[in-house]
Amino acid sequence: MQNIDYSIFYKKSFLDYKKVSEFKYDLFISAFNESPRVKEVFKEFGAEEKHWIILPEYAYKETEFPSNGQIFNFKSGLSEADVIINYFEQAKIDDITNKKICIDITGFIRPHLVFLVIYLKHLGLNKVDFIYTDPKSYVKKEETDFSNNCIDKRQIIGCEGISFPDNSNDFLIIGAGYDYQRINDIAKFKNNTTKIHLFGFPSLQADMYQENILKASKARENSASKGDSSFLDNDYVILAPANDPFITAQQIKEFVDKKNLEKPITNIYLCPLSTKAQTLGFALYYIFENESLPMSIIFPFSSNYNRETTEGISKVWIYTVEF
Amino acid sequence: MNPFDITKAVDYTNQQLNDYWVDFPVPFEENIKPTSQMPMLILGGKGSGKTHIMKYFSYELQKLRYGSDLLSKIKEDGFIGIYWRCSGINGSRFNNKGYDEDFWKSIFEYYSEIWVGTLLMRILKDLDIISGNKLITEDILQKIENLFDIKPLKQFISIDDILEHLQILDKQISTEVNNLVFSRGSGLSENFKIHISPTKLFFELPKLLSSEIEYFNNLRFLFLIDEYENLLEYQQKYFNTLLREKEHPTNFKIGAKHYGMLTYKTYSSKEEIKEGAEFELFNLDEFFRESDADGKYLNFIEKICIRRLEHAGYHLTIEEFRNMFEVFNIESLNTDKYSEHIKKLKDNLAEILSSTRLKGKSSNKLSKEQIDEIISSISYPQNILIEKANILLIYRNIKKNGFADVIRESNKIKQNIDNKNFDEQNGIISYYKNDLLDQYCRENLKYVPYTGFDTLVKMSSGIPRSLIRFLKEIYRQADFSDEQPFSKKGRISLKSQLLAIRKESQAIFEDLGNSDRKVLRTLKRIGSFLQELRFSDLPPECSISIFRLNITDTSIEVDNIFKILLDYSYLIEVSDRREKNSNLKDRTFKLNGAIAPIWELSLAKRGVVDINRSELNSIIDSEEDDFKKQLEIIRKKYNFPFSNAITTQKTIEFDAEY
Repeated sequence: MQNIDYSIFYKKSFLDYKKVSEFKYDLFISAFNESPRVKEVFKEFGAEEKHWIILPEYAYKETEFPSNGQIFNFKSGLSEADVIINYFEQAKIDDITNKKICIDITGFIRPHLVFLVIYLKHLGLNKVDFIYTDPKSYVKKEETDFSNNCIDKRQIIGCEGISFPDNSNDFLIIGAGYDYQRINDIAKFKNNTTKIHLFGFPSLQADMYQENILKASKARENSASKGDSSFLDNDYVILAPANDPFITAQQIKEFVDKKNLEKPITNIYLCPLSTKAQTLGFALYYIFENESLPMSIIFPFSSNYNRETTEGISKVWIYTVEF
Repeated sequence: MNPFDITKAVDYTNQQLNDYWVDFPVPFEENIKPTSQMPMLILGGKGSGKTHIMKYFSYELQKLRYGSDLLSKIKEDGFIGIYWRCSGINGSRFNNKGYDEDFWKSIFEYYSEIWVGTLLMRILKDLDIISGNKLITEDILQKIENLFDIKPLKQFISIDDILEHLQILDKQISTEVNNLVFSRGSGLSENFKIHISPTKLFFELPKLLSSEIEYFNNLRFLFLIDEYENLLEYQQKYFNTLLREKEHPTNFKIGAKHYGMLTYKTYSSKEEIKEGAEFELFNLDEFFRESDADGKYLNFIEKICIRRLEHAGYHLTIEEFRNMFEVFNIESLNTDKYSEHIKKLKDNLAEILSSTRLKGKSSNKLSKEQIDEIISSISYPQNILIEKANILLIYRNIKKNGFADVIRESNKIKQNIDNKNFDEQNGIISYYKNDLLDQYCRENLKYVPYTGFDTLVKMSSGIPRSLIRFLKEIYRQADFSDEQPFSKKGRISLKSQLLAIRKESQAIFEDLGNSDRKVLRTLKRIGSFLQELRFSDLPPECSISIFRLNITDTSIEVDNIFKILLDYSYLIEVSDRREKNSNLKDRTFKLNGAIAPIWELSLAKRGVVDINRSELNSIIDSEEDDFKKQLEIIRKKYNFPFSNAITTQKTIEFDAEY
């Protein structure tokens, strides 16, 4: 076990997103989608260079591409690793380890975001800022659909870690968001695990926790390990703020350390399906802990994602990650 | 506590798996044949019980079963079960990243050896401890060490040393595989070496143990490889090769879902493994369904339920358990209150007065008085089935003779009723009883009465988990309504059963697992098509749920859709074995009973509906509006006034050919 205290990582927030115009970064990277949270922040953001990554799963046509910033477009069929590695190869960022870089995680698709974080560490960056903007609400409240049609369930490339043959005490920690069908998919994929739901609490907005529970409970036939009664049982639930990657990582760590002491965990699977901020937290936990535990990040991949699922721009968060 | 809360074997501990084990009336051992030399493929739908059965034959459960007699009992069993769940190996990581199948095959072969070695050595360690460290000598350890192509850094002086070495190699391989993405095609790192050749631990280690240690003489090393569907195709090809070339005392039992066998190919000169020659097939849910006829499946299911109840603290006899479920009984219903079916007939006949669409059907229009006379003649609230049969007789007459003869027919019915002559009605009832009853309930009570334990068993269609899921939800509903389910004083109401079945049928449907929209749309349309027929005024068959594709030369796409529907247990084939052929012609199917209530279909296996080419075209390929038109045609054909059926049918003979 590592002795990292994730809660000491630096973070700050502000209510007026236009403040991002005061920033002075060398490079700003964002993944394009329809959300004003993504487009407005990109427009205002203060940086020497600004890059849009167009992810194939949003299925944008060239005519729909944004007119500001440098565009990096990727064809469908590429893996999350191919997209991110190709981006860095195409972007040819000089002296990247000395650049002041900020990445907007709001529009990223989760597996790409996870691989991006892993890859930044591989590239040797010591410090990167991530930005995340809270929505005011989801478009259709708890009925919001995020992804369609799961086409594959597998480990995220580069996060495959180590697996041991003894699977008598395997755990699956699911960042349980609104997308209950994907929770179903991943719970069925790793059915022989004790499933733990990590819920965003406090949630991004007051009513979202309730909506989240309602939605996630639809998958409980598969995702509640010890029958329905265990769905919200303390032994099977982790709570972490929906917009705090560091506390998310810390809460996962504390939970895993505790369970590992009770009975050695044989394999741990992490599956970030909740907010992007928590997804970042899952990635950080994996980065710092994967050498000491048999661990991997798994994901139910979809062929396409909805371009916009939220309404309004709420708080903006900056997270500073030091690898 | 809900006795049926846990529905999956994977959510049980080994202890629970042992505690909840129920053997089949013909013991599973006779079918699984753990000491047989022939490998076996165990196929089954989701929830059919593969994992529970395979785990039962594993060393972990042998140990729990036999306690202090383990060593002698294993000798009696004649095998040691080494259970391997394929999902654990995370096979997808041994793929792509810019490398071809040959590259990955060599890594996967190596990794599989490390895994099988680890599983086997853990069992050996356990047996050695139980034997008082008498089994594994230094000499044996040395011989195991010699199986490795590269000598370990630390000599093996205990089984722990072997396990430690295997874990180091496991980590090395995993790390190498993980980091290949970053090396972008420049290959494995220079210091990465393959330490052991293929089959050394799969075949040579069991051989060594068998020949060198007396205890293992004549013991079979039985690899129980579960969840085969989680391997990639080339990985299955490798295991198929092992299965084909197995060497005594190793043998394999492979468990997979119906859709899980991605290939039967091997790496042995491109030979395929063949049933009968290289493996025996045990189709679990089919076996259960076939055992339904002589009551063995019911007996098995009852025991499962009683075992569950006992563990939850409910001590009921089978009879008490069965009687817990209220069963719908028409005789206990106050039928005077319900007359929707009569009203429907009256409305239909009244339509003749005003309708222009019936022009040409008959010159004889009915007056209001005549309609009242007909209704009065056929009404027989003393026996709702007779009354429903009377309505059917009226409809038959109209279909045959138009409206010219309907008054005469109703008078005849009236006369027969007065004379207590119900021969004609009884003929209908003997054939259509369930349909008349279901129609009556649907028209008057707004539900189809799927009630009683036997109904639940039928609905499970050879998939025990479906039944457990229904019971779980029934318990929840009944508990919520304070019915004290499964306590001695308790009773589970019709309402609780119906609510639970409605909810859980939908949930099972969503959970069967295929997400191909065209496949699911096909299934839903077949359901709607059969539902339309079943609840028509003159159903073409009784107890509709089975259909036959009366079509030759179906396209590859259609064949594939039906294969998926069968593989994922949305449909169940009811053809005789001799009728099962690779194409679809004349094969008969029914909807999985667990999802049949979504379309209010019968659970009986009686009438077979033929689906012709144009109907199938419409079901599979048409736009939603066109499919609705097709349903409308069916509706007109089998419902009052039956007038447009023939003429309209002609207009929808599609040009489309496969």
